[in-house]
Amino acid sequence: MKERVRRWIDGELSASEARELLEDAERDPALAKELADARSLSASLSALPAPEPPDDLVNRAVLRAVRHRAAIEASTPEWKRWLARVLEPRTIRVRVLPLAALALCAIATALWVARDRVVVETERTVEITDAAVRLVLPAEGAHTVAVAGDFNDWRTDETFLEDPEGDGVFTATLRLPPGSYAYMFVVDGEEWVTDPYAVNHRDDGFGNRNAVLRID
Amino acid sequence: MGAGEIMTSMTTRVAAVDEAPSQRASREDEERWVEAARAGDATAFRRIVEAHHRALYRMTVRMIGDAVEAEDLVQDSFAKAYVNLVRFDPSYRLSTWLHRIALNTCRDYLKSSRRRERAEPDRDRVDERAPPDEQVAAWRTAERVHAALARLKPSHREVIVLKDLEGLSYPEIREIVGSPITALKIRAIRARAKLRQYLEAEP
Repeated sequence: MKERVRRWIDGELSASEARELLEDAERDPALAKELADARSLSASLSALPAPEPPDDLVNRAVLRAVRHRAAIEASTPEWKRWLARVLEPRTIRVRVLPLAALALCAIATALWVARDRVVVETERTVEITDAAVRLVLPAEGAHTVAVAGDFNDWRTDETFLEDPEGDGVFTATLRLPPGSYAYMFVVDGEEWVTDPYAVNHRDDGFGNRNAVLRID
Repeated sequence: MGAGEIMTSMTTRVAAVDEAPSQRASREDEERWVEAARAGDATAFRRIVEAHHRALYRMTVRMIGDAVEAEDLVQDSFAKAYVNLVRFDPSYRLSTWLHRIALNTCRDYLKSSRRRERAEPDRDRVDERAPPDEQVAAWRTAERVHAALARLKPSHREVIVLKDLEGLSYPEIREIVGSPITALKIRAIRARAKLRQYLEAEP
């Protein structure tokens, strides 16, 4: 009986089968109650309002999806990350004195091995540093200002600007290797703001303009 | 009410949950969007979101009973979809695939501690244009049904939401839920019986 009622509710009975079911119900009080209950449940479910999404859900969903995918694609296998760490710009200091003896030994060995080809290497200090970039956003009344961009996988909870003077002017200094970085400010964790002082911009494809930092 | 009328009323209820014609996309459109979105075309992905966000939001709200959290989960679902589009098999319907991702997101949420931390979920939104009396009556009815739905175990709620509220077919539900059709039909009988029982118990 239950399967028959389910088929009726789910619209799987033909017109003649449905008619037959209703006729059976007239003779069978248990079946009649079963149909009445099923109809009542159906009415209760029909009365439920369909939840309507907020207007900005599409924008938010696309933005999150794009950033999520960018972050995933940015994450690379371990060996590539290791290689990147090795190759990333850094300060290399070669201290002369501790290496002097070694250098002399090396020179002496070289002179002995290749007596007709004298090669003298000079020691040097190589210093390659990231560029310092200062970001400023006047945001009076804001509690927090974060910056999210290509350099931090668009995380909104990682790099914060500070307002040490308490005058509503938030600043931060980033040290970044040469490159091009799109970024946005995030005020109080939810309002995305384009840097008003940015020189370069890039459309994000959704009507917003990301500021772009270019470090040569 | 004759059998024919009853059949018609059932069909009407199911049709009412479909998207408006202007929001429907043809299969060819979707195939084009999927192809472009796979290659990283965010505008094409936006078309996919526009076409399916209402259905995913509806299902998510009804599964978890919390409209605010549902917004977050729907965004998560689309983010997962955008990353995994390369694995989408075009022989399936895109809407079925998206529903499966969203349902799995709901399942994870229902098992998570985050859900337990939210003491008072914001349930459904009631139509604010309705006159106050009707609004109160609609709110009460919706509250009763939501309360009863919330008491169902998730596997039963899935069938009620997808079959009775979203109006999907059993083959579609099989693809989304991952259970055989026979099992789904048995589950529908049990879930409806439980829901009736819980509704009668609601004040």
